[in-house]
Amino acid sequence: MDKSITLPPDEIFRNLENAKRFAIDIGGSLTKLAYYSTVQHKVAKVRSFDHSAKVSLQETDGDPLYEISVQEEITARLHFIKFENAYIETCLDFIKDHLVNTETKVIKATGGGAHKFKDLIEKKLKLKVDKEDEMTCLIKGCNFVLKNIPHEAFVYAKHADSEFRFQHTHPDIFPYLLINIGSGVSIVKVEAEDKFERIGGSSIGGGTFWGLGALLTKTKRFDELLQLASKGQHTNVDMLVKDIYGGAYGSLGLTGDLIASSFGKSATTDKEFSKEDMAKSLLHMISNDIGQLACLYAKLHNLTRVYFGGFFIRGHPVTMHTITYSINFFTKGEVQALFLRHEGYLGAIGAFLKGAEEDNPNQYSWGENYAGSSGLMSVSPELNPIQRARSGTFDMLEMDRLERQLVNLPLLQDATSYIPDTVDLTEDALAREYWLYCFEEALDGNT
Amino acid sequence: MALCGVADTGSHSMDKSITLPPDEIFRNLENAKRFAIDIGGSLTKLAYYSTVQHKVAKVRSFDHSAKETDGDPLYEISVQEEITARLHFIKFENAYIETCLDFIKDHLVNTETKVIKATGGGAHKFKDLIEKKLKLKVDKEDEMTCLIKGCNFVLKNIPHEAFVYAKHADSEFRFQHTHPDIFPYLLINIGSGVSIVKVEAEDKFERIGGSSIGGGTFWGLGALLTKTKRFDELLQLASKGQHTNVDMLVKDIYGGAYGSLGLTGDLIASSFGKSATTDKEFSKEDMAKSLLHMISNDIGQLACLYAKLHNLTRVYFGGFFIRGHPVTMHTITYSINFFTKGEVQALFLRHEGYLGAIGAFLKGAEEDNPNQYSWGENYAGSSGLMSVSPELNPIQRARSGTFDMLEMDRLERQLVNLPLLQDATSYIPDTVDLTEDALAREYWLYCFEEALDGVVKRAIASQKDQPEAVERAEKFRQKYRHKLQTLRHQPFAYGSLTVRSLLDTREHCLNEFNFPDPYSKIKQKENDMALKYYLKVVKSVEELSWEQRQFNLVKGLLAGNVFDWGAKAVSDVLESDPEFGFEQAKQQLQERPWLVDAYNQWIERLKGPPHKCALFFVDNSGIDIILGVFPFIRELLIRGTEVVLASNSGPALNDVTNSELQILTERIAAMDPVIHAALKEDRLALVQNGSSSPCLDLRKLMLCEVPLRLDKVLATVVRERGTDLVIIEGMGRAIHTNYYAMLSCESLKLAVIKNSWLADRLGGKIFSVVFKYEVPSKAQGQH
Repeated sequence: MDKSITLPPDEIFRNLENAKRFAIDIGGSLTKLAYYSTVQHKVAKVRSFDHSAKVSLQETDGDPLYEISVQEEITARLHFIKFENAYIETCLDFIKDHLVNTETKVIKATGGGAHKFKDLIEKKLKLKVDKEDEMTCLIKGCNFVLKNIPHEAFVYAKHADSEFRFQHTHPDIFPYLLINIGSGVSIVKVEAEDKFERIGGSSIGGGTFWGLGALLTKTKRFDELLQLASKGQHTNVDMLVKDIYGGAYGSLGLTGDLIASSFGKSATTDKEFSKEDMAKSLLHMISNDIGQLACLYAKLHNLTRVYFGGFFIRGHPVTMHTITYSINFFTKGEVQALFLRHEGYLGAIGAFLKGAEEDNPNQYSWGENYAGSSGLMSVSPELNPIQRARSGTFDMLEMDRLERQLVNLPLLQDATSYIPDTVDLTEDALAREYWLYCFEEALDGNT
Repeated sequence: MALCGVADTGSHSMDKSITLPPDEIFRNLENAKRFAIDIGGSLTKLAYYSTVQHKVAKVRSFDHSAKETDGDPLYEISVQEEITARLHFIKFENAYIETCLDFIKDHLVNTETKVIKATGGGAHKFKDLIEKKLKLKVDKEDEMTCLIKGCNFVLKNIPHEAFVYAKHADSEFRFQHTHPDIFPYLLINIGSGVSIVKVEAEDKFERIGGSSIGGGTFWGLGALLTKTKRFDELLQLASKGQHTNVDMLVKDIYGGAYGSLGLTGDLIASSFGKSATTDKEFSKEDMAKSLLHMISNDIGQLACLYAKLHNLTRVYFGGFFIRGHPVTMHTITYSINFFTKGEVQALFLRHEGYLGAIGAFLKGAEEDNPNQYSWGENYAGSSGLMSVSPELNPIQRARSGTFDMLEMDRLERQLVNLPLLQDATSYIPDTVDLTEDALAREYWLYCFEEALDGVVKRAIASQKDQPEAVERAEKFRQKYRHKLQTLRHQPFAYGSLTVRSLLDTREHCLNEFNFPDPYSKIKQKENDMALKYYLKVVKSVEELSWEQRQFNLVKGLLAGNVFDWGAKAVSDVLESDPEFGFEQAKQQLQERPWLVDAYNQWIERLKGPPHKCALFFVDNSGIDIILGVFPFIRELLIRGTEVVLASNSGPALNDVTNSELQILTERIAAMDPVIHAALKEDRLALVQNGSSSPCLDLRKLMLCEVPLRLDKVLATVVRERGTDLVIIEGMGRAIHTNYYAMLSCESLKLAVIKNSWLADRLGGKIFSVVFKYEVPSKAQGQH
């Protein structure tokens, strides 16, 4: 966490020299920086030779049909970088040193930490911090990713062949419910681009899991608490229906394994409970509660698309699983819990868009740049702890602006159900295996 | 009684060998007929049905036709045995279950009982023990069904059952008036977990939701966080804590309110949010408080969402998390207010702990159709709300918290309401709610305590021939004094405290110790004396001019009402000066204009056509009824108005009872041809009002049409005769109750204020006169 850490600048704050517009979203533990930059690309151009000059009685046999040249082209790109708050000063210094463009006078800021770090930012960057409403940015960002990034939303199914089932982008994203699980929970109904309402909330959120978890297990790190939870048995701590009635309570439709009382067993027994079991019970308690509230609000407002976000969810299979389970239980499968690939960036994207509104970014189409983006779950604590230590520190998303607006082929029979790809390799493991191998094999060659 | 265990051993231990004070707890066990038991996680609730032998005072006319012996009393008073039905409910800690079962076994005489209905989570755990000890077959009943059945029963049968809790208000408990239509409602039962049940009809309910975050979570997490293992202690900790030390508030994140989202700065953003990132130690109190808020708010929010989804506005909360705990009632109330913005009120129940036991009992008793009867809470035999409150009096609690009781008497008549009430659903009998008026409460409690010696004396005097009456009277004194003391500290113990409930409690306690009618002898003497003056009074009035006569009759009525052994000032005068006579009473009366004076309007009305029928709720025996009421109604009869005299079914103070009135009326008819003819032609009728109280409750209790606590017969009489005038007489009936009652016909409410404090409060002096004559406006509700 040393402030003197050497950043690998080319890899992280790319194209900083042309950066034009900054936005920053400072949460409880992570900072998300957004900027707009132009990229000089080499593009291959082909040009036909002028065959008309000489009357072509004789075709010059050896000449190529057209000419190939490489030219420079300038395109617009959005950069989003996510890093731990601990690095904020180092990052600000780095940005200051590499920022060439001096037209920029203002940085849009949002998130709970925005006012805490305001002075530091202004001092370091010599930019005026312009605070933007957190919820407005969040929703703006959410609308943007849902509209612009294919396969943004997904359903999580722990035991299915493919854990992630991506949703196809739907032209009409409204109305939807966004359940943002940060320290607490905000339940927001979004009806249009600029129309949203916080219809509910709860104080039982990520902060509760973290806070109560820390008190119960003496484990202070959120990730470690989740790790503990993933190994525990909640039935050792929770009182189940069968613990009271000896089995199911059939006439009320309650199965024996249903949790009757969270932590109910610790009320009357004197035995010690394991950290893992308590963490698991806590996780279930909180996830179920949020799931139930989400389902009730969805029903009350007649909404079926429910997205979950916030640090409690962010890239954690454990919480995505418990929330999904809870939603299935309470809606009897009628509502699906949806998660977002770029959920962590919503605030930063929104803040950036607020600043960029005069440019009408929605008029353009944006495409995710796979080369410059870290990809989902690069911060997963489960996948590869070593890899995590590095990539968990900096996570990136880059989006290229396409200069043309793209439209549907009007001849499609049903544009909304149209899926371009024939095989989904996330779902077809055999095909995936083959094609990944195939592309790797082909890497050396020049075919 | 065969039961005579040591009354109060002072033993507060959980020792199984505890000596139970049987007379006080498992009462009337020898006749117990039907048992039900509800065994919860920590408390057992036992219910049984029993019959009680009461002494009742009866009056019987002598055969006067033989020969008129001048010195003989007018009628004979005898005390007879009467058997009434009573429901007993006892609540005690599970630790006592074996002792209690042994006790029951030893004292259960009736052997017809073969089965005990059982419900609650503990029912299957204790099944074998119960069957072994009691030799009764345990018949398990569904817990939720029992709970709902019990809930429906108390909501329908017990006045002031439901209340709103307001911690900082003048009166913490605001009792709800019984509403005839209790459905639909939502019941949130907060036990270990939470069950949310929608109840749509007597037998139609559905568990529409629930939550695992309930009382067990508070207890379990609380125990882990604070190392405190007792639920009560956890609540105590919570009541002392500061949740803001542990919770992350909106202002902790945003430096203030988050205005655009409508979130105030003090709102909890994240429960336990502060313990996530700081390393400091948190106090047990603060953590317990934060936990309590977290759970209460969560339940409140769920309750509110389910209520909205199902369009319900009546939401009752119960379960051990709530039971008698002001701390949780407060946080739940707060939460409901917050989430519904005041649209839904959190309601609690006085007898919430008994619902399962009551329901199980009713399941067993269904063949008897107990709902056909009316049931009344017996104040003498019931512990009252919050007798287990941990906050009020820890020492008292150790004892009374162990055993809590509820007793209900079956009323043999079905009660209906007076069809002449303008709006039966909004009718409230009592004029002053003493739970809300601290000054008035203070005075009346003092007043009833002051009067206690006199009541005890009179009770003993009424049974001079029975030497043990002194001992019983002493027991009565102790019991009633204890009730008064309880009410001083917990005015909400039996619902809204009123002068009526204080009077009724005294009657219940007197009955309890077999003083069914302490005033019987005095009434007899006074009736006897007054009858001798009847003709004289009638004659003197007849000689007057019409205007003078009317005024004299009203004055007579009022003067008669001065004679009231129930009011302290008068009893002082009468005891010191027995010669205090009718004429002197008239002179005592306030000169016109009276405190409330509608006499002129009344006279104007009398100049018009006669009323068709007058219904007269009479008050006292003796001079009042004989020299005040009879001359007055005699004039009405002569005018061509039919008269129905409604008197108490059972004795209360010196009020004339229906059976006494029958004898008196016969005797007057024998002297007075006008009364004789009216009786014969059925222009004068006597009915009983179904009550044994000095006050009068015109409110609906059981039947759904109208709230008058009156005999069905009376209701019929009223309809058939086309009653167009109601006269209510006396402090109890016209001042303490019904002063504001709106009737759909003309009404006279008259009383002499025989209490200087009350007179003072109404802006007058003692012996001030209230003469209220009201005519319903054609367009009702315009004022």
